Amino acid sequence: MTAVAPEAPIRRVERVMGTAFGITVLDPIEPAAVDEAYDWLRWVDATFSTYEPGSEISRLRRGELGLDDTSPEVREVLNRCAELTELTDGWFTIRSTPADALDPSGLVKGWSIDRTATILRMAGATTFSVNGGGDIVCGLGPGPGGVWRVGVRHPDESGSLAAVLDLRDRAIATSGTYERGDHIWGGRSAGPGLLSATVVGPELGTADALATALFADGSGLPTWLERFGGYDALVVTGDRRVRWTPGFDQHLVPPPVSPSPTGV
Amino acid sequence: MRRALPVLGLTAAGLSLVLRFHSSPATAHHVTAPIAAGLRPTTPLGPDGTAPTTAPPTTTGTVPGGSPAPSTTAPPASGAFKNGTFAGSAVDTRYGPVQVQVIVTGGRITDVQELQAPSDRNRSVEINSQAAPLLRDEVLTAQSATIDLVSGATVTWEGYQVSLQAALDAAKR
Repeated sequence: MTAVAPEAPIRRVERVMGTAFGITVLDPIEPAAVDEAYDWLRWVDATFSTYEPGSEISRLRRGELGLDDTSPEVREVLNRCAELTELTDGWFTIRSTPADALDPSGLVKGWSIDRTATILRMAGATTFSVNGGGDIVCGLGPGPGGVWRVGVRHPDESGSLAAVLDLRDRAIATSGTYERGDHIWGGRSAGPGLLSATVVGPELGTADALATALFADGSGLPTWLERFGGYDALVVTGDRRVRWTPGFDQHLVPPPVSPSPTGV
Repeated sequence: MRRALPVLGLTAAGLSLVLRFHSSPATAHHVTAPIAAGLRPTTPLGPDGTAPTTAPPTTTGTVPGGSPAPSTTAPPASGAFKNGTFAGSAVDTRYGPVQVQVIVTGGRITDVQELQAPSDRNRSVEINSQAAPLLRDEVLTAQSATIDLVSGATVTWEGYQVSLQAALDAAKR
């Protein structure tokens, strides 16, 4: 009954990076850890914003700040962006054309949510989720087997889901035409293209970037995806089919068996 | 400790190049299934009842002829919710506060209503008018599937979802 007693559960949502960030922690932890998590997210927003003229990214773009003068976090993100560009055969990029200003937004949100999860874990949270506008890090969940049951939004039947997954200690990101993601561009003109791309893996930063790259690539499940161990993808193609990598099977919840009077 | 993780991630990616090279080209392994219009959470992938985990690799599904709507008749766990009206918390979104309430009759969620919705800007109206029916649809059909989170959700959806979750928590027995 002390003033700083751990609380459970904690469910909060705050507006950061122009979207809603929901944090749910089902373990009893100090609420101050959730404050710290949102402070971190707001710092990331202020540092990486492409809209705020005073952000490090904006100053870097204008040449007012040298790369060596940026925060270690900025350099870390830009380095990882460069690696991801190479590993995705150029489909993930921080510049839509060589003349464009750099924009690492395709990695920043997911990367910052990974760190948010670390803040919560260090405070003792094991059963939690962090949801930044539909890009999610799942710890252990409340369901049987310690899972979170996660729906993948259907790309054009908005009241429906394209797939249902059970996730624990995994990250999931989805890119689609419906989102406001102005960091997505390109797409191959040949073939039906994609309506959405979902990636599940150990880290959300990479999953987010891969979903963006898959969507920009548009060819389905390209071979460059094989370079990312532990990451699996599910795509909805323009001809309204779902395709997924073999490793995605472990996450999918099968449709219920047909009703049986003797069913358990 | 955390700062080492990106390096580990890169190492893992490098290892995967080696470990996964024994497999055939990626496209040869991919399972394909049709996606039907109006699929519901309880039947995520196959209108023909094909479970994704049992679909044989390299199988191509047939074009869906029509989509079933089985969840409207699926019996929910009886008595999962208390009868009454339960308001969720108001959630501040980019487009304004969002708050919903659920109506439970006979232990079932029978309606989801907006108490607060963004409406003072054109963009808000546009997004909100799209999101609200979705949410209602999703809740009414997913109550036995218990979806905790939605990936690829819109901002407004997220706001609704958080408010909704609070309402559902309040309604639970």
